Amino acid sequence: MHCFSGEGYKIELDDTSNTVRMSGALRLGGLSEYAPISELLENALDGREALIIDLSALEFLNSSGIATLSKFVITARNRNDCRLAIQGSNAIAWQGKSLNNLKRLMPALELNFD
Amino acid sequence: MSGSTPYIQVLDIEQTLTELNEMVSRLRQERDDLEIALTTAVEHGDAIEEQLETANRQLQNEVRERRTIEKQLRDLVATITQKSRDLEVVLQTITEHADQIDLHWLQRYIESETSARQDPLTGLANRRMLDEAMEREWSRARRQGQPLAMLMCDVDHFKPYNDRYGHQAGDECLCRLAELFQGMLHREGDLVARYGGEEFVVLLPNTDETGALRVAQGIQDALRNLDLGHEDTPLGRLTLSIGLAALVPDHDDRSTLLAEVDRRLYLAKQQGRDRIVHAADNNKIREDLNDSGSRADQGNPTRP
Repeated sequence: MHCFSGEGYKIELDDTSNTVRMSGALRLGGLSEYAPISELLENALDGREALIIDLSALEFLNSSGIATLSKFVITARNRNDCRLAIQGSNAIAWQGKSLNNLKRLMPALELNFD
Repeated sequence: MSGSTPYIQVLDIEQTLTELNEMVSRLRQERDDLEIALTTAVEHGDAIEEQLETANRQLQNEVRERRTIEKQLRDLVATITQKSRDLEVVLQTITEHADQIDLHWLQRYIESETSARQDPLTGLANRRMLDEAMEREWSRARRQGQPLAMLMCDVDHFKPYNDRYGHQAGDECLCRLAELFQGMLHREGDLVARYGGEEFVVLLPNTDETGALRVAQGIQDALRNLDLGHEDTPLGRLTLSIGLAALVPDHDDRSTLLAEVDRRLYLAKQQGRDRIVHAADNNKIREDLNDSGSRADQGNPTRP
């Protein structure tokens, strides 16, 4: 289990369930501060047939965060070696539109909302 | 010629030979020239052919190179197009996301602004909102030369109510009173605020003392009809003391109106509670709710 956290947020990679869970409120300043998260996400694609990004407890994500997520989805699409699924929540307002836009970047992306 | 001399004949032969030799020589020269011309033509043809061959090879190489470049360009265009499409989607994603986040913060801001101006128990305006409304309405009344009225209402014997029925019942009672106050105000600009624990202030723009008195009486009537039991009072029900004042502002000190209703509320308490005090000049009780005969005739509050 790889895990790191900061003020108000937590990100963990669960190797057994092939899931990256992001929770809390992610409000890092700019893409440079998101680089470690970006690295964790891209490394998580290595050697896996499938990966789930669980955002159902991610209450808040700023614009740099959605840009990081978008770039990761493009990377996963270009690599084309790992099925990607994103788990969202209908209870969190921002997830509806933003996550659906990610599917436009990667039509093979599996989107699930609870 | 048969008649000519042998000498002459020899001369003719020599001349002929000379001519023949010249001819042979010329022909040889011409043959040599032709050979040179032929060789030159052949060599030139070879050179042209070789040049053409070289040019052809170069052309074919160029065609191959161009085809390679064309393919590379097509790949590049495809990559750029894909990247451009990706960027458009990312831009749209970020924009829509930012809009959502703006909305999120706006809702938080509105909630925060509302809670900063709202009493959390009753949902009525709090003192901050009252202060802002007072500042606004005082200026308007002064500018337009219109009266501004205020009621300060305090629940009688509220501490004993809390002691007897508990604080939760006390809170419920305040909420019922808040609903009652809100039910009595219908005009835009009218405002009721929870001023303190069991103290409420009603601000009535463009209302003179007569109009404000009608509202105050309406409140007292409604409270009597509500008949909230309070065993520790002479009437066995919850009552209100109200200080009332109205004036046309002619100065900047808007605290005078609040001070006056506070003073009159104090008088109402002093005079035995459950009443409205609204006379500034004589400190007399102008309306005693215990003397309820006249109240019943007030009807619904109407104001100018």
